[in-house]
Amino acid sequence: MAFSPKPLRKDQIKDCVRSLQSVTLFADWTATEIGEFCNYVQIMPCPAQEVVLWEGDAGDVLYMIAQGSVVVSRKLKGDVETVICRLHAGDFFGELDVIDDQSASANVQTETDCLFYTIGRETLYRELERNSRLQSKFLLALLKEVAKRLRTTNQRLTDAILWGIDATSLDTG
Amino acid sequence: MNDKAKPELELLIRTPGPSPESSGSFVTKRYVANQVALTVRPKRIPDESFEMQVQSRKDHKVSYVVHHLESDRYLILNEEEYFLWQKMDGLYTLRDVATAFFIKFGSFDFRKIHQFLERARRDKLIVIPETDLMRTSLGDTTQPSTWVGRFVQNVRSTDWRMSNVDKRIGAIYQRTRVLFTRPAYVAYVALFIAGCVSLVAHYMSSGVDISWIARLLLLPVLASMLAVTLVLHELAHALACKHFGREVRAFGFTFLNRVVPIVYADVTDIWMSKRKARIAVSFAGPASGLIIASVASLVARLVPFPTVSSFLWLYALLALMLSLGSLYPCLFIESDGYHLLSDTLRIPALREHARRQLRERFSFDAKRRATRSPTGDEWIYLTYGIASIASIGASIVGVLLLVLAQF
Repeated sequence: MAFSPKPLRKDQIKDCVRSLQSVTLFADWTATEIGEFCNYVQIMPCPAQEVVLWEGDAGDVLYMIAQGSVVVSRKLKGDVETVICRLHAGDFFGELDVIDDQSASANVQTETDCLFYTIGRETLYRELERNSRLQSKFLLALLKEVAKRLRTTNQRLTDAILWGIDATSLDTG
Repeated sequence: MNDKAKPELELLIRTPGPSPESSGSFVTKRYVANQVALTVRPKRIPDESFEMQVQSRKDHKVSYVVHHLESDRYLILNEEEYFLWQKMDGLYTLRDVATAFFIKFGSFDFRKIHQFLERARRDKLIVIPETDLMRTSLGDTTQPSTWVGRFVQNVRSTDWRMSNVDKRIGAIYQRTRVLFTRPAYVAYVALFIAGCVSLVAHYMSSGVDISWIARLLLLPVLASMLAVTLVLHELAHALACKHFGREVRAFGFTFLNRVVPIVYADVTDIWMSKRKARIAVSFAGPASGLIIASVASLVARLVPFPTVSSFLWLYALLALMLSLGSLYPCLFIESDGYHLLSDTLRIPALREHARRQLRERFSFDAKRRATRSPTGDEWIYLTYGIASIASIGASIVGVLLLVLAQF
């Protein structure tokens, strides 16, 4: 990927705080807490049709979407992939890779011009460990989001099976 | 259940970039399950694998008993199901079968078809070959090694589609509804007659009169105007589809068979309408070209500048030829003319039947050659098939003669 995160300039921190306030991970954080956190956050603009993460890449960065939308997909066969979901401003990705130190589990590509705020795993862990209250708020929010995505995945699994039934004309209902 | 509630599969089709470091580009496509289902071609088992017995019933209706010889299973069919059984010969898609069912019985209950299909598949009397809807999407693509090859591959896999297409076309239709009124139709006929008379009169009295320098300069303009004509042709199909209250599924630009650049409008939803609506939608595209050609020829007659006038005569002639070409039905392609013929004759899958008849009647293998007299429908298939072969042959000969005449 040709686009690398850059440290935030002083004039960009206000916008960063405003954007992170709408990210569910920081829903219970105060503006001051987010403001301090932003000192360790980096900014990464990305044009449309760019791959931000390839499946299998070393995953050690959490991406928070400030502007734009991305498509999350997994490879099926050849150049064809199945779309898992779309994420928009206020969403985030890369959290699984940050949690379990595994490589990226899906491709993430920008559908429109995007602006991301990023933080590396080491930096995130270090900052959260310094403040146990923030750590619990963050982890609780992360847990809620993971649960929500798991429910969405269950529904998608049902839809995929229904799709297969309909597509092969097996359904009579 | 409307389309929004039906399960959808969304795929992302990636086009690799020119270098390993580049992300390339991608498009996403949605497939609604029923759209896939409607393109499958159910096929009953071969004739020698089953026997059939007709049985009359007390209520004077008739039942058909199908006996699968290998599995020793029986399927009892009523008249409607027997009709479906006959249609499911591997040539018709489910959409064709549904249309034929509607034409025959005046009812459109897809559930009957599904239920029949389920029973027949369970008893192994009908199979559904793999759908090839996504075959090209899921095919393995090898990366060309040269940049020219990669560029060509990128261009050939182009598929630009309008987003929110049905809404947008609907909005355009609302603004242009006057084009679908009776006075407008009368005006079209008058314009067409006047335009044709003008064009024929012009070419009988004088030929094309543009110097070769002007031709070279005007070629890009001519090409652009013809491209716009093609876009308007497809737009006319789409607007006609909206006029009859159906959905426009897609509108865009791609390379047909990854070779021929085309603009397309997916108006297959019109199959859920009556025959009159289908015929009108098929005719709308060529009609737009005929009207544009007529207007161009009338403007050419009025314009005082000879070069511009000659250019417009040429454009009018080309637009007329393109429209008449799309109306011609006998070329074994699914042109607008083919759909008009197929609907007029009430024979879906006319091409496929014609091909099968030609194979049966003119097979080199004497054992496979059909010897009995053709039925009424089979005469129609044969006529279409022979006319198409003759047309294709005449086109090739015509082009060769044209090329040779230049030398």
